Amino acid sequence: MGNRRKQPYSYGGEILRVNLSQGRISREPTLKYAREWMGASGIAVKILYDELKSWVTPYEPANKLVFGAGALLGTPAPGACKMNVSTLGPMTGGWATSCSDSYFGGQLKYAGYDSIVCEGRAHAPVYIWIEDDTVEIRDASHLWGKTTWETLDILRAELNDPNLHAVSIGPAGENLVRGACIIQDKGRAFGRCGTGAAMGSKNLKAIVARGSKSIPVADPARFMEATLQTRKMFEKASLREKFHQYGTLFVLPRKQEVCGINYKNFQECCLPEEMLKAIDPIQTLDKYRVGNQSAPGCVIGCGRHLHITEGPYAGLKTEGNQWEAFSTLQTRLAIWEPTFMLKANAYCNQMGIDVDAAGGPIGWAMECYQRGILTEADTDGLKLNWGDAEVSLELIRKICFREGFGDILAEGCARAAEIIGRDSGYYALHIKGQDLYEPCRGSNGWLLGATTSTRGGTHTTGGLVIETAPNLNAEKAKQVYGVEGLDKPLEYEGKAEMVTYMEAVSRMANCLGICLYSTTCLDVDQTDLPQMAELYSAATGWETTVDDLKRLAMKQLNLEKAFNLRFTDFDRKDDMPTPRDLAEPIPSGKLAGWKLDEAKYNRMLDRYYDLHGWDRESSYPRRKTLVDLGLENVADDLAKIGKLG
Amino acid sequence: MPYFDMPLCGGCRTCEMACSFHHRDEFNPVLASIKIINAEGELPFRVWLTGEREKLTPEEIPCDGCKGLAEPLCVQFCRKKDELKGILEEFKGSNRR
Repeated sequence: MGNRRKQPYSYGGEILRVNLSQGRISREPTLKYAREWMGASGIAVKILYDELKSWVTPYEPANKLVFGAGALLGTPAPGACKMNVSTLGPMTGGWATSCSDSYFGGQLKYAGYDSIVCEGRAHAPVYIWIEDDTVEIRDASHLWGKTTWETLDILRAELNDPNLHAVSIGPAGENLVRGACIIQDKGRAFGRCGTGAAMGSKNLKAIVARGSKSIPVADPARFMEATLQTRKMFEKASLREKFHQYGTLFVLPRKQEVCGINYKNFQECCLPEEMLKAIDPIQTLDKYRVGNQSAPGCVIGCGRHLHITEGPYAGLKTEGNQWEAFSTLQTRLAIWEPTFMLKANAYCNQMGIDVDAAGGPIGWAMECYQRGILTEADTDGLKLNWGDAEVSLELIRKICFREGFGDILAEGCARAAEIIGRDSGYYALHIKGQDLYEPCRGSNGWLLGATTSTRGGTHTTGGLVIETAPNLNAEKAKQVYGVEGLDKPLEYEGKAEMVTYMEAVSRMANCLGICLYSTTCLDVDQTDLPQMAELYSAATGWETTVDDLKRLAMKQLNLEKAFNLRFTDFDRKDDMPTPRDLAEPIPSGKLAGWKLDEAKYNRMLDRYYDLHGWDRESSYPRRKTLVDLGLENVADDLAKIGKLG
Repeated sequence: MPYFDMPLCGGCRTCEMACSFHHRDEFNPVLASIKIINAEGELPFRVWLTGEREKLTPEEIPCDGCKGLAEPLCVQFCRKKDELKGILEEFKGSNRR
């Protein structure tokens, strides 16, 4: 207890390798990676790129699953609450990474570890127990088949620790549902990319960590000063109080204004006014709130505990959902019961499925049913009518157990449309095989971030969330992003530059373990790259500038790109918007009639490739780009497979 | 008992990290005098404060109210300062008795 490691400061110190096939546990120093790959997803992409052979597929034992706690996790650095999990992903077949608020990650670091590399496949279900220097692979046959909530309750009871933190998979992960996620405790998900299915393929049910070691920082006085100064910034952040009260659900009125709501599987981009009032999530939260929930070190505190006391889901006690679950399940499926978002989110968490991997294929199926493409002969007799909450929950169940029609939906909307055929692909809105959850029309920076994302269809790896955020300080935004126009979501100019900036912010946030939503991603008065550089320098003693962070981020991004080029056939065509987004104007609302201009989109994409040193035609990185980033070996690898730009 | 209800606490546990920093210049919730406990029932979290008493284990460091600081470090890092201040006051009173 309390033993102090000298180096590297702020890190746990070691990377744990657990080979589940052989039952072998080994360790290596984090220093092997930390200087060039920082932490979490940065270290993961290096390990996965170097160690996965080109013949590996997502579900086989040769795939690896890398959990990584951010370099500042375990310290009070503002918002330093995240860890990542990365793998060769079953959803896109390429780079997969996902992050979650994590007490587990803090415990991992207090136990002395920064990452866990899970290798091989256990012969029978197991969980990993970590307590400081003790690491054991334990039998989990009694946990297999249990929900994530039951799993945590059982582990806490049998290990006699009500404060124990765990990551686990539910039935969805066990049954290799492509969009299965990993749940941290009960309410926070490593959501996208299907990392839970990769974990399930390893027969790994859960990981439990408990640590008692200290995390020292290199310059305690400087670090605490940087921490307090950064916390102070948030006092000016205009969205903070609403964010604290309602999480990201506070954006609903603004999303209605900018046509950013997924209604009936993207057929409309805003809600009918009467529905907007009827399902107002703010009222639901106010009505059923029993307490707050905040991730470690967070300055915002966006979570809440709820107890539903009436209606169809009376009795449910759950942590509240964020905007994404509301948009991808409640509004996408056009469900009028206001507490459905809580029920569906809780059920997805229990079963261990990403809310988007539920809402995506169900939304696609309901639209196909509406159009007569699917009938009851396809759906095990279910009538897939919009707004049917019970059918929606039943479909989630069927997906998680891969039962009947659910077995097709479990593949995600892109593959489900391939299986069904009948020209249903137009209604499957995805990028690189990853289901989209929010309209890309009407917000060009969001769109470009989503289309170019290396993990597919996502707004958190470069997309401009802030573009449509309420109360945007346009003047400050210009200073932060370096170009004008952040407050003009319909314009194409400058978006490539802004997305490139956000790519750096999101990657550095992940490496440090800082929540993206406590950064300039949402509000220009929150943590930005200069604060990250100062916190990291003070914590580690390694002087690091903003330019250093940008370079490290681009290095990571290029390795993610190369990882995709090795395992997939992605090229420029996969960085394009969906056919529906290109073909259909926004049908109603304040932006009714606005349509994406394909020629202008292509020019924006050209500019994006130019900024990255990637070839316009193929999207492949040029040799010089890779060499300048110190990735000469990657250039050689890509040359061998004919994918150098 | 040094347990206190803190209805507004969200459980970010930044106070624990700040507290261990006050005592040892490093971050380690085990060394914190303040601990946030997952509560049973409707309230998600309760606060535990370690007081002066006999037979403290090496990792149990009693709360000294951050002597010398204008405001205890845990309060400086708390989103619900007023509530935590009240708890510390109450604790100071009970600890004296």
